[in-house]
Amino acid sequence: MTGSEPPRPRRSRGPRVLRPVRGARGALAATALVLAATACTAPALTTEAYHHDALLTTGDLLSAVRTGILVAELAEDDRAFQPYLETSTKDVEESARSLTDTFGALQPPAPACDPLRDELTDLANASVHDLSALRIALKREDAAGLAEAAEGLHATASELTELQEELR
Amino acid sequence: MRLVLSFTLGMLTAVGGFLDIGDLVANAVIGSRFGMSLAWVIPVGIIGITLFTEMAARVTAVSGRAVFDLVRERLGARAGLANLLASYVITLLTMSAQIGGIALALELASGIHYLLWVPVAVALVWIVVWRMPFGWMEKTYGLLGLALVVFGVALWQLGPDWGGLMTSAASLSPPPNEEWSVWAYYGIALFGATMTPYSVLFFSSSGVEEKWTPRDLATARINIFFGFPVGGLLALAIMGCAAVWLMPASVQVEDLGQVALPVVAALGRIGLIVVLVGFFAATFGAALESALASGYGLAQYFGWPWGKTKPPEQVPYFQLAILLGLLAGTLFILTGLDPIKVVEYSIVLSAGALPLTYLPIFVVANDRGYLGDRVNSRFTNIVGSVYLVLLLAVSIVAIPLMLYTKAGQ
Repeated sequence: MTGSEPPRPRRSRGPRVLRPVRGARGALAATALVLAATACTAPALTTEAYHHDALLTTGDLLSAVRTGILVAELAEDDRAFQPYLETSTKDVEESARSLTDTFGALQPPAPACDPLRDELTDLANASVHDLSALRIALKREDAAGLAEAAEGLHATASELTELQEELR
Repeated sequence: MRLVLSFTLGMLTAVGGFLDIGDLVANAVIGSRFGMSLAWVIPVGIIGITLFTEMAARVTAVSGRAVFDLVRERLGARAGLANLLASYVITLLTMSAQIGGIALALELASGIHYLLWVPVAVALVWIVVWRMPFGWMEKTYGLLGLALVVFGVALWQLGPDWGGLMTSAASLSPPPNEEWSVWAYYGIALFGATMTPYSVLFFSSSGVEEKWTPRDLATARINIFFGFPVGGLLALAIMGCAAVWLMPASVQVEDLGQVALPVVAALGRIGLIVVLVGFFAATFGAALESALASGYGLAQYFGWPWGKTKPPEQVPYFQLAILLGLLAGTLFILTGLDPIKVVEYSIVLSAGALPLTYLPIFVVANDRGYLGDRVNSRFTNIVGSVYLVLLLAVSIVAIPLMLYTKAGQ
């Protein structure tokens, strides 16, 4: 293909008068509001909502614990370097800790939700404990500690899976 | 022989430079949660980005000017400003995410907290932007990015049930226990990750930097039409690894270490080294591109001299814009916001702003005053129009879906 017409020459630009784009500030404010709204944890006002939050928390905790199990297996088989193993464990430990705090701050909407709260809180604390134990064992290159932490993680994962099935 | 080498290098660079932290995270998150049920979004996104990047390349090669420069001239200052604002804010957010990604990759390799790596990452990006010749910069990170082929190798090594993967990909529906709204939200996020605006802005401006003429169009097209689809295959491999290894284990990806888990499980320490090199190259390359894109956008809108290939003293405002953009991105990441969350938000917000980027490109690519006989063909216009409608639909639902699903919870 050949161009039969030359490209249009650059138009002469007159004095630049930039009017403020209407709504630009509004758009930025709306964006900030959206980001804030999606990051907020809304209170659970009904039993159903509380159960839903508990289900989400259980799933996220299970993800963190299972990641710990996979990391422990990699460590036992010596298939990864220490910094990667420690960093991965630290990340999921922090995640589990954050989930524990967030769920713990939720007000149960009715006394009937208290047993669920107790059970999930215990499992959340166990998750954090087991992941911390894994992190410490990895840092110390403690094989026995690693095995013990992995055992704890397996047990916690089983209980979280059971709770997840009950809540679905 | 030199021509063959040049083609090969260009194609490989396009493949290696295609993925960034948004693609890494989005594909892994989706694979771990939805299996391959959203795999169809990748070819849809690839076709779109290929189409509009080809338009941008053609505009640049024929006119000798960057697309954004022409958009401002063709559509006026107000439309140009809307285009600039939309793409600039998203590009800065994306750049912050890439800087975070570089730091996370270094943390995984060293064990040193990622926040301590952020200033180092930014300094490295700045030095490369300041000092490294343009061609070297592109080829280096493009070729190193090919390390992400390790995901394809890992997927093969994991020995998946290929029939099961195909069934999941063909299902076009969320798995049980997942809601349609959340599935759609992540589909939009993946689409946004595939069609990020900064890459088109960078591609067009780099064409001016490399002084493209219509003779270079064939090479550019080969790089685009080959490189992007192969890059899409890498994205599918990342999704596949997560679907095969993480989803059965009920692991939902929330950090970069989890993205690498399937590769480490399949290939051990060698796989870990290669994947970390790939992470670093992909995020570093994308940080360079987005940093330059932020400078290109501002300079082209305000009519400042610009160009990485020019001595800094000839383009002071351009260099200052890049530096300030990097500083803003650094400060944003140093607030301690989870870089992965920044990535997720940036790709969804990017999806929301897509029409503002791609519609002006479409208009300019149809302007005979700039392109003569090389305007869009009828086929390109039909497909382009379909995509513009799709982009508009995506942009309308992106934010409401983000609110309704609380960012995919």
